Amino acid sequence: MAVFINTFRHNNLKTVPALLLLLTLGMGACQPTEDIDPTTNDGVAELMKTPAHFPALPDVSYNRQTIEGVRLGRKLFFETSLSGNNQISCVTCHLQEKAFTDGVALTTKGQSGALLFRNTPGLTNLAWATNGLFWDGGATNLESLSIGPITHLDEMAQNILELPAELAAKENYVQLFDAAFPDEKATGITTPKVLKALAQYMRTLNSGNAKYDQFIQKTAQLTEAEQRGMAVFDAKCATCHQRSQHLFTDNVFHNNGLDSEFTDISHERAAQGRFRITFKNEDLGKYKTPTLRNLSFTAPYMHDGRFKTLEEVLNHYASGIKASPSLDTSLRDFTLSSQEKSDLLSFLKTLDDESFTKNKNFKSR
Amino acid sequence: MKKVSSLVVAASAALAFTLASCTKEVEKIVEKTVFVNQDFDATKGVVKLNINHTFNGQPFEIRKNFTDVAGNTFRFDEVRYWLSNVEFVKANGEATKIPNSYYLVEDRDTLFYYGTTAASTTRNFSAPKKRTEVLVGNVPAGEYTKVRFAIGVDPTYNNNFALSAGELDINQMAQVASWAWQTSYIFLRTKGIFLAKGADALSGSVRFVAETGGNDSYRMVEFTLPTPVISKAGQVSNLALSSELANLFTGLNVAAFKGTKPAGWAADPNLTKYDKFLNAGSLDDMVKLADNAKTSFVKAAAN
Repeated sequence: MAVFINTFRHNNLKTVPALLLLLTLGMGACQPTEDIDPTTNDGVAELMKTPAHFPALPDVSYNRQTIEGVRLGRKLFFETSLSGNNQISCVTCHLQEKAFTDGVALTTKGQSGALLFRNTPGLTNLAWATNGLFWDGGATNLESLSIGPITHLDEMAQNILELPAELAAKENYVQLFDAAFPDEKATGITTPKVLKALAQYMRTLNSGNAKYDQFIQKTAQLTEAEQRGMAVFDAKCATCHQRSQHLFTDNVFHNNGLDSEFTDISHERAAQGRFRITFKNEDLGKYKTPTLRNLSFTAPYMHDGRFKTLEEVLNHYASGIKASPSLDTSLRDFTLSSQEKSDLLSFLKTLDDESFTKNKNFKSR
Repeated sequence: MKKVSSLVVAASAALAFTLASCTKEVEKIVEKTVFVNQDFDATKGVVKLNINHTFNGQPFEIRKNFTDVAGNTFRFDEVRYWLSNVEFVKANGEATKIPNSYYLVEDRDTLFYYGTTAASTTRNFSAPKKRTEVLVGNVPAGEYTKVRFAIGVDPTYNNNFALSAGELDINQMAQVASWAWQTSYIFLRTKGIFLAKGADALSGSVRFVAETGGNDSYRMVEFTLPTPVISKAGQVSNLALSSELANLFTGLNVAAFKGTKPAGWAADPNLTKYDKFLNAGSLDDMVKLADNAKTSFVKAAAN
C-alpha cells in the first residue's frame, strides 16, 4: 500500500489540503496524481513535461520547478510592470510565434528607444543551457540573467527597488508569490523570487516535437533530400550544433569567422564576444552556439542579426569565413558545396516545431 | 564583553515617504534590512570586526580633503566593499569558516540607486552611511590565532543571484547592467575627486569611480594575531582591523584611468557626473586595484 499526501490549490489559492490514499493492491506501480480541480487545469502541468528523447532535466537545487512557480513565472513573463514605464514586458522582444525572438537584427524597443547591440536570442530548451547565458555567457544561470534586461536603461529600465511594491499592489500577485515560494525565509514579494519564477517558466520553453523529433521517435520519415542533409550536417555542423542530445548546441562559445578583427571596444565591447567576460585573447569574437531549432521563425541570424536568410548563413560557411587567431579549428579549411547547402536547408527545416510556436500553454491565462 | 542578548535586535528597516505636494515627486529612503544574528546559535560566540579606515595615516572621512605621500589630493564620496567568508584559525591550524558571513562595509555619501532616471517620478536614495563594524556570529568557542576574510564575493554566490547568504542583496553593489554586462557583484567601489599635485584646482580636478568585480578579482586577506581572539558562548569579542585606503591607489594614476563609462550611466544622476573610470575596461588597473584592496588591510588585533 502506498500513501500519497497531496496539496491541491483552488483558483483563489486558498490551500485545501487533501489526503489521498491509493491502494495499489499489489500492482506496485505509482499512479500519476491528477489535479482534481478543473479550474486549476491551466496548462502548467503540461508545460513541465519534457520530450522523451531529450536528456534528463538538469537539477536546479536552488530553484526547483513547481506548478505554482511556473504559473507565476508565466504571468510575470507577460507583465509590463516589470518595466520602468510599465509598457514593456519580456514578450515585447521574445515573441512566441518567432520562437521567442523578435524578427529584427537589433531592436529599439527598449524604454529609451536606443539601439541594442545584440540580436534578441531565442528562448528554447534553456533548461539544458547550463554553460552560461547571453551570447557571451555573461550570466551563469537564468535566475541571474533576467535582472540584466529588467534593469538596463535601454531595455526595461525597471528600478528593482520599486518592483516588489509595484507587483504587490497589482492583482493577486501577493498570493501567487506566497504559493510559489512557501518555504523562503524572506516573505512577500522580493526581486530574487521574481527572477526565480521567470527562470522556472523559461525552463519549460521546450521544443522537441518537430518533424526531426518524430523521425527520431520513428513516427515520421525524412525525405531523401532531408536524409542527405542530415548526413552533411553530421559530417560538418554537428561538432558545435551537437545532435547527440537533440539540442543542436554544445553550449560552448566559438568564433565562427564572422569578422577578422575585434578591436572595436565601443558599446561595452559588444563586438569582442566572450572576451568582454573573460578577458582572454582566445575568446575574442566567440559567441555561444545557438540551437538550430525553429530557424524558419528566428531570422535574422547571428549575434548581431547580420544575415537575413539561411542562404546567407550557409554562404558564409561556404565562402565567407574570415581568419583570425581565435577562429574555431573546425572552421579552418571548411567547405560546403551547392548540393550540400541545398540538402542542409532541407534538413534544417525539419527542425521547425509549430507545436512550440503555437503552444497555447506558454501564454498566461 | 557585551552580552549577546542585547544584540539580538536583528533588523533595522526604515522606509520614509516624503510627499512634495507641488511636484508630485515621491522620495523613498531605503535602508537595507540587516539580519545581524540570522540563525544565531547562543552556544557560540560573536566576534565584532571593527574596521578603522585611514588615509595616509589620518582618520578617514568622506567629503574631506586628504593628501597622499606624493602630494596629490583626494576627496571621497564613497568607499564600499563586500567583506566575506570570514575564517578563524586555531594555533593547531584548525580553521573554522563562518557560514553566511557576507557583509557590506561602507562609508559613503547619499546614494541614488541604479535605475533612477530623469524621467522617473520616484527617486530611491539612501542617506549618507558609515558602517565599519560587523558582527560575525556563530564563532565556535575557542582561541584563534589567525583571521582570514575576503574582499569580494566567491564564485558560487557571485555567479548566482538566486542564492542568498548573509547580507548579499542584488540591490546592493550588484553588477546588473554595467561595465561588464556580467550579472554578478561589484566587489569594491570607491568614488571621489582627485587633484594631482600642482594641478589647477578649478580645471585640474577629476571625478573618478574605481571598481573591481569578476571572479578573478576575489582576494583573501590573512592576519596572524599578536594575541589570540577568544570566542566565548553568548559573548562578544572584539577584533580591530586597520585599513589604509591610500594603499588602494598604489601604482595607479587616477588622472590616467582608462576604464569606460557604462552606457546606462549617462541617464543616472547618481553616476553621470564622473569622468574617470577604473573597471574591466582597464583590466590591468582593475587587477592592480583588486590586489591593492588586499594590501589596504595592514593590521588586525584582538582587543
